Amino acid sequence: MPDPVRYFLIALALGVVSETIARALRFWIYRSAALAVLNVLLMFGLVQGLGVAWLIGGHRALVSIAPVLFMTGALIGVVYEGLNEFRLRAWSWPDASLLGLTRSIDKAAAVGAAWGLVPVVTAAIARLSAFAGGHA
Amino acid sequence: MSGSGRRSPLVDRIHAGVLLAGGSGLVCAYWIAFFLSDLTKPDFTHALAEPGLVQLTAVYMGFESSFPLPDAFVAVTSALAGLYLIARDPKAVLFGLVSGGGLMFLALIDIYFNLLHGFYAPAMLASDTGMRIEVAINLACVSAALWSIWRLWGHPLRRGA
Repeated sequence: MPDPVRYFLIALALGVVSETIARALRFWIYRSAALAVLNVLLMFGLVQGLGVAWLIGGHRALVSIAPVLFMTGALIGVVYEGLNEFRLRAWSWPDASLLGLTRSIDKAAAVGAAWGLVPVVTAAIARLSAFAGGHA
Repeated sequence: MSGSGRRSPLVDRIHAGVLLAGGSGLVCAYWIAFFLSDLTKPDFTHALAEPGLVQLTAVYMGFESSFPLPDAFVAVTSALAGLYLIARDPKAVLFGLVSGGGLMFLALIDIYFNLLHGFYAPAMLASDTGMRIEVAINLACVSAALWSIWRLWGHPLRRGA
C-alpha cells in the first residue's frame, strides 16, 4: 500500500475510535452526525494524517521528527478548537467533567493540545505496520 | 472566569495573533523547514568538502537537533495563551508567562552558543546568509518574549479583572 494512503487510513481509524469513545462517554456532542463524519475525514484523515504525519514526518526518523509533528498537530488543533468555540459551534461540551475539566474553554484547550498526538501516533503506527509488512 | 461572551480589545487580539502566528506558527514553520529543506541552516553546513567545517557543522547540527522538543513546549503553551487571551480568560497570563519564559531561555542558550563558537563574528555574518537569518530569529525571540512577558504581567486578567 502506498505510504500516503497508509497514513490517511491510520489517521482515519484513529478518528473513528476517538469519535466512537467520545460519543459513548458523551465527551462532546456534534450538532449533526454529518459534522462528525467530516471531522474524521478532513481533520483526522486529510489534515493530521496525510498533511502533518505523512508530509512532514513520513521521511524522517520518528524520534527526531516527533516533536515537530506534535507541535504542528497541536497548533492546528488549538486553532481548530478555538474556531469551534468562538465561531463554528459544530460541537459542544456537556456540563459533565472531562478529565477534571468543567469549563468549555478548558476542554477546548486540552483537546486542542491533544490533537498533537494524532500525527505522532499515526506516524508511529505507520512505521510499525510497514515494519510488520516487510517482515511478514 | 472566562469572558468569552465579550470581545477582546484590539491590542489583546494582536497579542493573541503574535502568540499563535509567531510563538507557535513560526516555530513550527522553522522546524518543518529545518527537517524538509536547507532554508534555515547556515551556509557553512553545506560546505562539507572543507575539512575545517566538518567538525563545526557536526557540533552545530548536534546542538540544533536538541531544540525541537523544548520548542514544542513553547509552541503549544504559546498557542494555548493565544486561545485563552481571545477568550479573555486569566489562564492566558499563566500560559503566556510560561511560553515567554521558555522562549527567552531557549533564545539565550542559542545566543550564548553562537557567541562561544564565533558564529556572530563579523566575517561569518558577512559571508553567511543563514547566520544572518539566525541573528534575526534570535533578536525576534528575545524581543517577543520580553514584550509578551511585560504585557501579560501588567494585564488586567492577572488581577482577575
